[in-house]
Amino acid sequence: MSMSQQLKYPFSVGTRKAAQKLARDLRRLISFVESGTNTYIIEAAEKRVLAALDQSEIPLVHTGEPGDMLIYPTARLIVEKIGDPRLREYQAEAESKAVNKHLGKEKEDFVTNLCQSAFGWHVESTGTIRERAKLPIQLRTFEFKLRYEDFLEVAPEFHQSPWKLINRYVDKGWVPVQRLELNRLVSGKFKLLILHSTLDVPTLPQRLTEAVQRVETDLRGKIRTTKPVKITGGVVSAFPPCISNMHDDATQGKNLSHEARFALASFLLKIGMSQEEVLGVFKAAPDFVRGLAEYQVKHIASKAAGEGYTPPGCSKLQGNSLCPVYLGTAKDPLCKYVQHPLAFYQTRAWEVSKGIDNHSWYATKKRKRQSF
Amino acid sequence: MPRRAQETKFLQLTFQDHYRSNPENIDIPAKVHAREFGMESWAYTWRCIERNERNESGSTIRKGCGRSGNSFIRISKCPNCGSSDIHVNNWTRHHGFRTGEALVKELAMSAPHSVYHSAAFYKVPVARHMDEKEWQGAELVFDIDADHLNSPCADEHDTWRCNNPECDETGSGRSPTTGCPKCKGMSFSSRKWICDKCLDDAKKTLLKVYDDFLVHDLGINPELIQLNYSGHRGYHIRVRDPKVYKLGSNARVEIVHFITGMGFDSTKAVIIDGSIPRVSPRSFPGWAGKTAHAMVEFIKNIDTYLGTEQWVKRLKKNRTAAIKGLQREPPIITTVPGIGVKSWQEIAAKSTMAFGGEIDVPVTHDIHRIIRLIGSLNGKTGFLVSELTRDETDDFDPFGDALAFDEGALKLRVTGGQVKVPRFRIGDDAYGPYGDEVVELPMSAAVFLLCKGVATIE
Ligand code: SF4
Ligand SMILES: [Zn+2]
Ligand SMILES: [Zn+2]
Ligand SMILES: [Zn+2]
Repeated sequence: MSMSQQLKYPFSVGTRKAAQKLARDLRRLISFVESGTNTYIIEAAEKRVLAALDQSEIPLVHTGEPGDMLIYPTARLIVEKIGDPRLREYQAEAESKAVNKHLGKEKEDFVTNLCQSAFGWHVESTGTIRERAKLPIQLRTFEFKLRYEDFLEVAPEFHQSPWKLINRYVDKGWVPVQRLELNRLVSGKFKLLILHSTLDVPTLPQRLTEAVQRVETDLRGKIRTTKPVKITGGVVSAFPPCISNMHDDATQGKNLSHEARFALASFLLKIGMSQEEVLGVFKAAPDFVRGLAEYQVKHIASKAAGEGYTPPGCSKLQGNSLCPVYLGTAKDPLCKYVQHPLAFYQTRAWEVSKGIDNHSWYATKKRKRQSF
Repeated sequence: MPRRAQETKFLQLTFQDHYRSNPENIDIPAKVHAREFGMESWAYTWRCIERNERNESGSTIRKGCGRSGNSFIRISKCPNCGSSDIHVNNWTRHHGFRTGEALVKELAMSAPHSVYHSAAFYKVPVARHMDEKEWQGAELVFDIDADHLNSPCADEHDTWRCNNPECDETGSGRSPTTGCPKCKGMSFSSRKWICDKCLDDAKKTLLKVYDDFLVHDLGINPELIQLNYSGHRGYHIRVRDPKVYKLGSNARVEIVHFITGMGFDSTKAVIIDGSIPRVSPRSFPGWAGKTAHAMVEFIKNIDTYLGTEQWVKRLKKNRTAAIKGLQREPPIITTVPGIGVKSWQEIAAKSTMAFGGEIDVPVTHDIHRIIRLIGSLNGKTGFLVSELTRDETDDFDPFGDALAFDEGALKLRVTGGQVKVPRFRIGDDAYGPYGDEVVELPMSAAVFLLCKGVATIE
């Protein structure tokens, strides 16, 4: 892999090795970029983050210095220092877009090698155009096949019908994919790697701190102008702590777990929100983070009235670490008297409507159902 | 009817005997030290909640005594102070065993009603909260439960009772969705029974999921798939292929949809070729190649379809011709007046949903799920949770091959009442139906009735 290719694919084995050679860990990275002329790395990294926040193209800086390899890690460091999930989401989106674009210009071999070396994926060619010509027309267009386990690492994130496993020509565990699809899967995997990685960033020296502050200011301005759809205050204030947390996370564009999305969507549908409104809650994130695709909401909605898909109760949520009261990070006196977030909501909504904010009546009028 | 203490004690001792004399039955799950175990015990633990309450005149009184204890029956009042504000529980999770021997020893000692282990591997399986457990991956598991298959025999052998103590109405079949016919109440207890028919339906689904989807389509190595009878109403599948361990919930949902036929885009499978609508040939991999077959099955059973689309009537009238066309290779769509491509695509989508393997969805996508330990006893029946090979499954008889107690007999007073205890089979012999009567039964049959809570020891 050439140096310029290494710069394009920060997740590749070659790039990671080259970066590690210069700075083995976070501390060494910080001291490296802060010293002497290396501060150009901080500047470039800051630009890189700002470009992501702006949703414009990620600039590729290729000065020929080995330090170029540290621009991406430094950009990640700035983002993790700020720790705002929306910012991380912007970064992941922009970085993955850039990779997708670069991949479009690479040779087939390069892409399959990258899949294997960087992610351990099993990808094979399905043959030359001549060989494929014998296949039925629908099957001819797939240049590659990928193991279903690897395909599923990324494809569900796209939440679109053609990406569903059921809509692929799955053959003995191999999923045929087109070249452009494979590029999407690779860049999508990179996005997930960013979204799921967390760094414990120590206190930063001068230059980096300034960069962090400038990005933070930009971020604040950005978030103010793109307020997500909010549901009316009255309804939200009656949410139990669990739902309220998930709702905040969703509208802030955090990546919710499958269980959380399911719990939130089914809850909102159950209290009478329309499918459109529920989608709105999930759409609010930066890239429209298709946290919950339409068909999923529809699916939950179609069953929400019947027996199958009632929102999970407190014990289920507690088992999934989704109850903040159980985890000790939130408190509400009403929680002790309910076993289901819906029961909480009913009582609290009534209180809100009557303007009652003294909750001492629970102790005499209600039966305790759980203790924390 | 809740079981009395005497019967519960008897069952626990019987289970204990079994575990002591057959320790080799237990299938120790791989990486046992990394699994979370859950136990359902025979006894309930209760705790009386102590708190201050304000009465009408505004003065504070203390309620509850704070004591706790064990009880073989489910109590609703504190045995010490009579307070009804108590916690009752017969479930514990977050257990861990370093070795298989430790697990077997524990079973021989406590002989629980039921024992489960996580499909997941954890760094700290005994941690109380999921995020402290440190998830390291999980087997891919499937639960096929007669409950979800809507077998018609449920109407013959399941019963319900109205939970309104003043009403107590009973009836057979599933509990009425429109409310109790006598008091209009909406709360029921149901008694689910099993028979050859519903367990056969479950087995058919098991084999379909295994043969067609897991082995054929997903190409999973059969040696890495473990099958078992649950000991009650269904079957389980565990995929022990390290390649699937890393799959997250979203990925598992995709596999669930793939197996159940949900989310199929039929506009690609039913297309206009020239001016004739066609269905993908059977030689196509994946669902495309199954579409024609699924449609044939769907049209054959169109009488049981409850939808009210325009095409239903027309399809019923022309079913023979429609099936004939679809059975050709490549399949074609017979022109049926009034059914256009759009409708055929709709029919195809309905067909795949009906054709897919019915599995209990949350079991698969919940990566923290626990599943019954193979080789343990199921406290709902006294049957063995029995491991099966693919070949054994064909002839497996739950009412014969999963029996754990072949010695002795027991005299029971059956409390069948008006709805009666349905007929059931143990080995080669059929028993019941029973009303209120005293019978002497071989041990496996007796344990079955005691587990079901429909008899007492005479
Ligand atoms: S106790 Fe129940 S309602 Fe309250 S936060 Fe926890 S899960 Fe939600
Ligand atoms: Zn008490
Ligand atoms: Zn009634
Ligand atoms: Zn049956």
